Amino acid sequence: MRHSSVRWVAAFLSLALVATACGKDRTSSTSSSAASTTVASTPVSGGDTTPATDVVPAGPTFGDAAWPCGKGDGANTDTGTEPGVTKDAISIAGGDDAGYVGSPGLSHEVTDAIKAMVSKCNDLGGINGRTITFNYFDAKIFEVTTAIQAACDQKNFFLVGEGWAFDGNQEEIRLKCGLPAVPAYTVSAAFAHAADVFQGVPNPSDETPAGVFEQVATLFPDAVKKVATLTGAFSATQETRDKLVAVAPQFGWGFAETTLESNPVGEADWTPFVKQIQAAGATMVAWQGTCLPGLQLFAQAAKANGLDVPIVTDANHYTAQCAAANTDGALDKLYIRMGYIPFEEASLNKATQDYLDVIKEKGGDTALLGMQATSSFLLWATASQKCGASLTRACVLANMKATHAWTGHGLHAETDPGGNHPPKCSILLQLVGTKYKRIAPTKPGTFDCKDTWIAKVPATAAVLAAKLDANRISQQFTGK
Amino acid sequence: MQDFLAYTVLGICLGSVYAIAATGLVVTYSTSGVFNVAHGAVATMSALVYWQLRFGWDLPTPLAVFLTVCVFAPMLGLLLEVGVMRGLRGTSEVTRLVIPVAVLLGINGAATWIWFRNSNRALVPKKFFGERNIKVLGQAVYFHQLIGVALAIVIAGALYVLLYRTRLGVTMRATVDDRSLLMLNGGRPDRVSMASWAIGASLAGLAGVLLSPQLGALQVFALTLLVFDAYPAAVVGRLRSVPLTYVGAMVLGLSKLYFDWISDAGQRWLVLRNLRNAIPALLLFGALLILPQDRLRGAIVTRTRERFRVPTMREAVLWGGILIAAIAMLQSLMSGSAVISLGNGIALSLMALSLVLLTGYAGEINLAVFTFAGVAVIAAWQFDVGPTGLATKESMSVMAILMAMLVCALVGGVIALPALRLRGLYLGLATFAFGIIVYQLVILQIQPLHFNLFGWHFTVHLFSTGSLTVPRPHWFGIDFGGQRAFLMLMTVMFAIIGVFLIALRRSAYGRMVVAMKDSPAACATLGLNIKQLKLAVFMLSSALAGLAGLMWAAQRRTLPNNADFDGFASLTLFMIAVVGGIGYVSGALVAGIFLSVLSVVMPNIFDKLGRDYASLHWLFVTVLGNFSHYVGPALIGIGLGKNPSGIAQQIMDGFRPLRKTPAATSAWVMSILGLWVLTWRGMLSNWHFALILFASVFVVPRIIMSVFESRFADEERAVTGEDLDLIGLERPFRLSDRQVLDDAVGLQPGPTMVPRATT
Repeated sequence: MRHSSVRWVAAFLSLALVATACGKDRTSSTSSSAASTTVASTPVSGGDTTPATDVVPAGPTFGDAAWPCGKGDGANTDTGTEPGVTKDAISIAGGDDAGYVGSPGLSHEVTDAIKAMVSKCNDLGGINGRTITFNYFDAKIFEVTTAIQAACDQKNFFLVGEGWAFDGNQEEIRLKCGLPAVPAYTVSAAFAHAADVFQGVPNPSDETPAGVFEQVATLFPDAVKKVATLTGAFSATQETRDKLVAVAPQFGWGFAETTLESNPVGEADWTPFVKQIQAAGATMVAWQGTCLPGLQLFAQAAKANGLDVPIVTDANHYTAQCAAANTDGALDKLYIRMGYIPFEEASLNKATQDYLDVIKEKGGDTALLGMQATSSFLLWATASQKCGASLTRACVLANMKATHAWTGHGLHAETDPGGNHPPKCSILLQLVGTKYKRIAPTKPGTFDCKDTWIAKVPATAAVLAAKLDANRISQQFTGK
Repeated sequence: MQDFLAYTVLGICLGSVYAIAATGLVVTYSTSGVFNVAHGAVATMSALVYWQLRFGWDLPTPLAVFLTVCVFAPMLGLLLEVGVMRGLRGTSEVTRLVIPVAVLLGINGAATWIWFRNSNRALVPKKFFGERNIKVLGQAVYFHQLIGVALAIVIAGALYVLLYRTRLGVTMRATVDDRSLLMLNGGRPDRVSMASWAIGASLAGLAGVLLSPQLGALQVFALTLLVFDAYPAAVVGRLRSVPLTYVGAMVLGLSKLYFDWISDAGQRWLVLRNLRNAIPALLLFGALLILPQDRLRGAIVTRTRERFRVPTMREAVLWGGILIAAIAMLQSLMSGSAVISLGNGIALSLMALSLVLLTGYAGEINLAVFTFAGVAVIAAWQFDVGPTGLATKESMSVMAILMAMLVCALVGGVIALPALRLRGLYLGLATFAFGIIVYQLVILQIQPLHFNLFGWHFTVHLFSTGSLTVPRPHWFGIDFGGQRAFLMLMTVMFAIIGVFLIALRRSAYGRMVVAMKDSPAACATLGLNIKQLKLAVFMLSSALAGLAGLMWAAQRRTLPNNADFDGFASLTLFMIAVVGGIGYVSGALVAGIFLSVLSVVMPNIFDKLGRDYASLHWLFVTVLGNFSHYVGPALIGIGLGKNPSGIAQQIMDGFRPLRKTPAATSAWVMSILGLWVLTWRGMLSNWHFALILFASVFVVPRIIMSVFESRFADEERAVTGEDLDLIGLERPFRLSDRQVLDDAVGLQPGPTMVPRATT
């Protein structure tokens, strides 16, 4: 039985990764943005290698583009050599950590989304008439090697929308069996930088979206000069903190404390941290952890001891449970960076509404991670559809590599899957009572974006371990 | 001064909750002799029940507290006493430690199944009187915390009066001192035990209700671990003194808060940052070493129900060969993912082997096996890293393995030295505490450690990226990097170490080790150097654990530092090893395979059955799958009370008839080989082969038994439960009993005994 700290860690890992997803700059600019923002429901324009973005879609659409699914022209070929592909069927694999005893249902929203999208796509005729079969593998967090080997043994075409928290463990086997992946998210640098891995919302280890730092600095020009970090003592969260400390000073941040770390298993009393932050004279707290239970307890202790400063954190704190728990208002100064149009604005963004509708129709739970999986599925399906009658892994990979502007049909800000670059846009939300409120940009359905908001991260130990080559491809498990 | 007062106030508040948890533990131990490791799980279950009543169903707070603390928790305590703990009489200390561990896993599994099975729910209990607080000596304190302080004082006083001033209390203590004497004097020990378990569980429930709002959104294992933190207080109270336990709890609470004060919440000395999380473990370790301990029950020679037969060397080598051949044949039929699952199982079996030597033979306890795995990986890692702290070699070197074993042996010696005078439960707790200390201070440490010894500079690289990629061996021109090759390497290692252990057990040295287990006092009287022997066994076992741990890590390949080292994995492995049969090499094999198969493979099989037969999805997935997933291992552990010698013995006993019928046995083995050939050639599916093999293992010995029933009647009676001690008392002694008794004590077959004519 393995449980305690890992439960917390897994929850953070799988949720914090949505923090990287942001939106595309499209039309008019907001106050803090040199680049542009847009209403997501408007058509995407220019510089996009994805299909259906340059033309008004005919037929059923998902978001701002046509579904990459349909009956095709019936000319499909079957070479018999391409794993998981026949004339009329495609087998793909995916999965999550839902069977983990310490946190049952972990990341199941990822699979809910993929199953719903596959079902909907099949309803529309499949990929060029090929019906998709989705094979589910539950890694139960620690059984990643078993899950990936089973996916390999089954001869699947691709790994699509997968969300296994310890994905570093799978890399050696996956590369050996040659199963390419379009995961919902990546955690390890080795997986995030593999040659045959593409994501709807890339999460490379050597770059980070930095828009939130400028947004917060604009909002609190004085408070950002003396920030205290408070981090759950786990390598992934420590790495997030280290990126923040390395990058945020470019945007006017200064730090009072950078090494406060809490016990990820739980703290019986958060007052010592509050006292330490007060003693350091910090005027803002940057928090890396989870909303429940840690942050809520810290905020309550802060309130009881007279510490009243803004708290800045990641998108994993955008959850219904976190909002619902704030009945006492202790978390009212919580600021969250977002890369997606919030669910509250679904009526303004067709892609968000379509995602909610598909899940509602096919069954399952919704979450930011689910949207991220949806984006990856659409990326894979679009690239597959473009291959036409002769569907091969090489063709799909080449199409994805050539995709440098991708919004997941308007689900999120523009990313560069082919170049493995995160988005350069951000939304800042605030929790007020039990509701999330948009702070920047103020116009619903839009993002703030800047080209400088993708920041290079100094090489961390994790990045060094991945052995990135000149093209930022990991050679850790390639034997080179 | 203001800070000192503030941290003192906070420390007393925390210490009070520890006091409530620890006194409950003391009540149970001092009246039943069982150290209830499941105390934290009872607290967790109670906290969830309280949440359900108060926030799920909106009952008034006093009613919800009453129903939880005065109705639910005592009922759970009674259930545990009657259903599980009562069966522990006459078992060894190891069994009495293991079964509460199984109960812990079972209760936590059930809690997860009931409240968290389908989603990540956030159950947020609120403090009594919400966030209302008051300044005490300048420090804001919640009303909730003040209630905890008041309750701790009242409970400590009330328990003291109960145990030392009332007839019930005296009876409770008498139950443990001498149960038979109490019965002779008209006492009813069963009722008294029930009362003490009810009170103990009730206090656990109260601790859960008080602690859960301080931990925020309920998490099953977090709350259990927090109650674990209270254990040092109970040890300070020597597991029997309520006032000393209260003092211990205050020392614990104040130590945690004072360390936060002087260390600036852990950041003054970055290398020791996690020390604040290790304080309870340090206090536990220190208290065990420093404080005088009561004589442990079970440390004297007792008649226990556990019996382990020792195989002959011929049998050992034969079975080792059979294992290698069987695994080789099986893996040739298995899919890649099944090979990985089997490999995981064999790796865990290897780790369990170190426990066979230490616990099965020598009777000592190590609850930190995975800690040695972590130490071994770090030690071996030093040989595979370059100046950047990253792996530079693709193959595990023999030198790295030897160094890992040496370091583990030394570390084992370092723990054993101060712990030489500890036995049984206290040694178990000391090793558990040691595991937590190493986990917090070494394994979670990411920064490399730089040393300068007499001008010699060197750097020790720890889990530098939060996880390490462990290379597999490439020896004798064979690349063991592949799953199948590595599985076979581990199997061969298991067979070799297994044969080595049996040879050791059969040697004079082995007999000394077992004698030490049976009666240290007798050994010392006969001139054996017990301390030296204990130290040597501990070091050898630690070296084996290191070797096995390295193989386990190489099987995993990428090893995160937070996955298996926090104590629970070691507890589980220990439990399953005892369940498998801690006195047998085959028990270790069964344990590892069980651990790998039961909680991982079985749910997968049920999932597949659920998909294949959708109309029975509720049965296969909802009932059987969840059952095997959440509570299966725990229930098997609890079942140990019925057969303390373990599953391996049960299985081997099942095969005993085969030894007497070589023709039938050969026919069976040949038919299995024939089926394997058919499967290998693709003429029979793996599923069918597995089903036939599985069924035949259970059915064939029974068929042989029924055919040769009369021939085996005597032996069968002896091996299926007849108390060997009572042969000759309850019925006349027969010649056939001699073989049974010889087998039971591990003697070689001797000349046929001729009954002497009576005159």
